[in-house]
Amino acid sequence: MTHCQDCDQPARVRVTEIVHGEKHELSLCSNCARRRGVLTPASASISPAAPTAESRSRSLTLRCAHCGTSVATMRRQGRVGCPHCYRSFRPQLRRLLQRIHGETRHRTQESGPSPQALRTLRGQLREAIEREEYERAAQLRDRIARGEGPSPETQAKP
Amino acid sequence: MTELRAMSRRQAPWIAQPGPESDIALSSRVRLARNLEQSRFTHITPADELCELREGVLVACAELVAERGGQVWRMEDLEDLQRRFLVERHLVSVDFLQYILGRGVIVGPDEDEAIMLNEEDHLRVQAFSPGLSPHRALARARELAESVGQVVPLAYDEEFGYLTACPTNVGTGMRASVLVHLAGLGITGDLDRVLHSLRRLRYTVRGFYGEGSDALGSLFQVSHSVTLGRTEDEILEELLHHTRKVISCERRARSVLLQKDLKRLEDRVARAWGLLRSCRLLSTREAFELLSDVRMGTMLKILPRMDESILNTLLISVQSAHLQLAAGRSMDAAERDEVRADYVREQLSQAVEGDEDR
Ligand SMILES: [Zn+2]
Ligand SMILES: [Zn+2]
Repeated sequence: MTHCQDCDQPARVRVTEIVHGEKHELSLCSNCARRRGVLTPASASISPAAPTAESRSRSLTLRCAHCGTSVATMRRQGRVGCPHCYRSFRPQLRRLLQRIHGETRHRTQESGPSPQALRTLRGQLREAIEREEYERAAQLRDRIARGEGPSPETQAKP
Repeated sequence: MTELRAMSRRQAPWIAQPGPESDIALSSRVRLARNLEQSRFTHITPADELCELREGVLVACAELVAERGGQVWRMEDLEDLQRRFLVERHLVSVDFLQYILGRGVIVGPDEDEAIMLNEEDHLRVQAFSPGLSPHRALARARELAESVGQVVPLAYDEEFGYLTACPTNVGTGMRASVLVHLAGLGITGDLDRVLHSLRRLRYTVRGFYGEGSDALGSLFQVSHSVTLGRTEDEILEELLHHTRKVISCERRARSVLLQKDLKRLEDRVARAWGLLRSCRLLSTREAFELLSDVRMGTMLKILPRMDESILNTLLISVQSAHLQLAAGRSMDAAERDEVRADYVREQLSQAVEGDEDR
């Protein structure tokens, strides 16, 4: 196992750094990687501070309980913090989505096989591969790719 | 990483192979943005957690990846050249290289499917298909995304659909694009008008070779921007409709050139052909421009028939990282221009012979 060159903890990350045109390979633990400001999307942003008692009582609902992102941060970054933000800030996001897409409700495709039918097909595909029936496997893979259900003769009787 | 080197010498089937309308529409591509239900989006996730997240996804998908013969690359394990190669190959985005740590990509054996890990979204499932066939690409991408969805819980909301880091992608999470070659419109001067009308319809038009390479080689990627409130099929139908209109504009431009300006067109194409067959130094930029003229000349039968798959592959493989990876060493710009010229001459000879053999 490699060790972090800064602190001797087990290294979790390997980084290539270019200094004055010269390449250096670094092995670092996650703490030291963060400390060195190694390029990561999060390295530029500070993790959200825990809300103070005062602000908590005032605007509890405006912070996502799951990731701590506030509406203000979301607006500034143009990014949502986590999937739960969509539920925490539903009315705000609804307005934003209306502006961007002219719609707020996702519409699903009615056609296509049900998840049940897909599971059946995938089961058949696995079996075919295990039995080394490659031609049949290819046909099944095509059916799945074309969004078709199981062929009638192979469909399990209800 | 010998696999990447081998890949640099191979054709990319999604652009090399013929498909519907592929004289003008070279390929179609569908990307589906998906995220893990329980994780923060990547822009606020520290690097070590991104690594953990990636490894978790790879473990969960191990069987799926093995079944399909996919290959996995972790970005921090690659050299800069190899990473730029993946961008040139269109397997990862340019933005993907802004941050390295914790990112990765899974690539299918024919390069027609790929999953970017920890780009703006946790997962970006992509599929490519030759010619104007976005439905084919969608079927593949959706099947792949659904397979992944069976092993990792994906963020989905009854009202908003698939939840993404950027609200512009929410709903279907889909971005479909078609790669079109608009050399004729570039010559007749109608290109701007056509692109402008697309943009007015809220379509995005981007140069194929990334930012700042606007009209290089007359190759453009046309994509929609709405992702919410319409089904995937509806979005693709509209994309097809508008792309077909662009294709017919390009055909009209080409036939106008054939009828009204034949000598000038023949001269232009023949010069491009002559240069590519005999020059000793060739920059990327010049290669793109000349290949564009040659490609149109072949489609219009001004030039002898040749193996189109070789010609199409050149549109990708003349780029710097491709050349250097294939050669197995890094080269300065001057040396690259020399190697590029040799490579193109040799490939074009093969393209002509290859077609005579058939
Ligand atoms: Zn350390
Ligand atoms: Zn959140």
